[in-house]
Amino acid sequence: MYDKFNFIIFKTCFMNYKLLIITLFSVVVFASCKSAYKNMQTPDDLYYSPASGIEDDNVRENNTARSNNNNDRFLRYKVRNRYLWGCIDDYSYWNDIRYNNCNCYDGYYNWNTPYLNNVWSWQGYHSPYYFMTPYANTNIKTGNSINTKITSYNNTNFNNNNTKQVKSSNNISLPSFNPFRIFNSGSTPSSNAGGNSGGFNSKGSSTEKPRTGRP
Amino acid sequence: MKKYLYFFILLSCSFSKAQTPDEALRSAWFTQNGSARVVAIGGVMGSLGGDISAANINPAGIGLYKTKELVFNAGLLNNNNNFNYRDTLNNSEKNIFRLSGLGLVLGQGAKYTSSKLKSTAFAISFNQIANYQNNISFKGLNNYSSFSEQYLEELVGDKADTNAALKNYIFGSSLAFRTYLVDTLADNTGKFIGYKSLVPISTGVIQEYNAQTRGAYNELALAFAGNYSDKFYVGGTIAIPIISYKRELEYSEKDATNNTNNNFSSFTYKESFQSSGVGLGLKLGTIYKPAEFIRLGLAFHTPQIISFRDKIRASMTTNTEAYAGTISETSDALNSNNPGERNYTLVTPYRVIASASYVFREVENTKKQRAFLSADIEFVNYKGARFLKTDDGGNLVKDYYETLNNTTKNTYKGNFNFKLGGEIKFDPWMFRAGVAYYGSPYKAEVINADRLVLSGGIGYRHHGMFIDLAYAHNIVNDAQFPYRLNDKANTFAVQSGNVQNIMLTLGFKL
Repeated sequence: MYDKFNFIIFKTCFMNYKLLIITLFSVVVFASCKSAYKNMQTPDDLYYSPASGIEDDNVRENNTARSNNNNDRFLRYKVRNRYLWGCIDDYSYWNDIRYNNCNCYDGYYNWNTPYLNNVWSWQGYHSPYYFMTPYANTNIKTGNSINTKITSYNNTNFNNNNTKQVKSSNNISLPSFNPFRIFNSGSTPSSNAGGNSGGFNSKGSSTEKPRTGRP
Repeated sequence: MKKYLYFFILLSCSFSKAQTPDEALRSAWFTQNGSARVVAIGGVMGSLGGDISAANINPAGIGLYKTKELVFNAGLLNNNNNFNYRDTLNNSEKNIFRLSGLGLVLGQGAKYTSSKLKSTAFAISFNQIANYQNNISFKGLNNYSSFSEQYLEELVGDKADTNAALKNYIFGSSLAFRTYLVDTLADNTGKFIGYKSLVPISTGVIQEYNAQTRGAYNELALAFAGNYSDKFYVGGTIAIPIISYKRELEYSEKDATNNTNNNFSSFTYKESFQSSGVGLGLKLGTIYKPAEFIRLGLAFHTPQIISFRDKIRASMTTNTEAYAGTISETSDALNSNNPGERNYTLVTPYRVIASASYVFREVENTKKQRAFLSADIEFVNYKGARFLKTDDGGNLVKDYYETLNNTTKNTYKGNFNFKLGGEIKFDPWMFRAGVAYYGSPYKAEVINADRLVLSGGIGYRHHGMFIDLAYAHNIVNDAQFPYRLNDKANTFAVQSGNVQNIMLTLGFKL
């Protein structure tokens, strides 16, 4: 049992050695990375997820005040020397469309530039949609079919025991132990029947080959 | 934006032709897969959160993250199948190694303590929802019905003349007609009145079914979640199912007697079938903490819209002894070496998950975190699967889809899945156990189908990384139909095997 289990592991692992190499490589790389939690408790987010970098609201007020002080300082400088500081207040400078829409740090350690990190704007080869192959809309060829392969699912009679087959009687010239089906009376067989058996276009494109003759 | 619209239109479009109800079940009835921690606790993740598998189950659980982590999942699957086919016992086995998932969670706490939105999180994961690798093999004596009778039903039901029998069923009935497995039937006057099979069913045939299946149901999940006041969490996942399925089927019937003068020795039908699909769906969820230690969860998975393309090739060899000898025919020879193709859209059933958990204790000091117990109840509306048609094709195609959808509705039902799991923690070690029961999707009560999962595992979390190991023993009861008939009782193999699942998760806190 133990040998068999070892064999299974060996066989399956060997068959997938490329995947294993990728995995092991990734594991080594990430294991060697410096983690903020190497020398402290490793959080278990299921129980409790510690947030880092939270600032108290008093700090928030101080920051706001500092920002206001900066604004005041800028205005004083501008009054003092309009030509030196005035350019900073230029509308086109602050609203340059090249940098519009968040060239900013979004808090997820990603630079939120519009062409790199917007899932709906991913371009070219790196887009996940690059690999999507459009499906062709194939022509539909259908004939007359009552779709017996589907309607058979509605048959909820089951038989899992072997029994003797009731032999056919009457005037039919076949061995009595072969299964058969007879057309409904009055129906006329047609060469247009079928064509979409099982949901596939089942009219072959090279069916002119005749049926092999019997000896 | 254009690319996005193009992508969405592709997913929304319906294409020609259709499927059997079996295909609907393949993308709906499976046991819960995920990280080793989730596998070990029976698949519960409806209200716990804090695990990347929440992106696939209840995305609100991602909202519990205020940290960042990277996760790899890999595992071994061992399928042990036992079949009882008409009182003959059969065994088959399949072993699989799989890299079943990887993902990244980026949680971010609020910047200020006064914020009501305490944290937000984003997760991207690629997870194997179901693995299709298996070996379905059984055989047994049958003197009641034959595989060939489905061809009789089809030809007679469609009122096919011999010209149609030759040309219009190249993946089945035409192969049988061309190799003389079925032939015309005449009355005493020589009038063509139907079709007969050359199989001498009353003396019995040895039927043998062997299907090697491959492929997987993978899901790319993009999950977003928010945490309000550390009490209420909401989340949503954009799920992109990516499905690949291949089946190599070999089915044969052999004369059970030594009679060489009964015009039948054997026939073998071979079929190579592959199906691939990509789609889109949404998963929405909430988690609420009404009191310390208590979590309640509710999640809804919308039906997924999946566009499929299928390909099929078939061949048949029949030996009718003195009647026509041994003759072979292939669909390739009748179709310019091209496979049969069909494209269609499947709308999968919706799911609703309700869950409750007791987590003791929700404190930052991991030494004081002790245990949790969680239970999920999940409803899956299997009968709600639908196949979509195109507007063109006329009434015949419309009828085809109506028949198919009505049959799906009549074959399956909605049913519940129950999951219970828990963990005891002695930091940095964790010990887990779980149990899950998946009810039958079949409406017919006589088909005994369910899945019972018994699972356990251990985990270790230290130095900024974690490693989890899980073992799940799935006891599988199901039914395998080698063929189906309209006007005669159907036969099936009773399946009662097990699937052993060993899962390993490696994670790194970033």
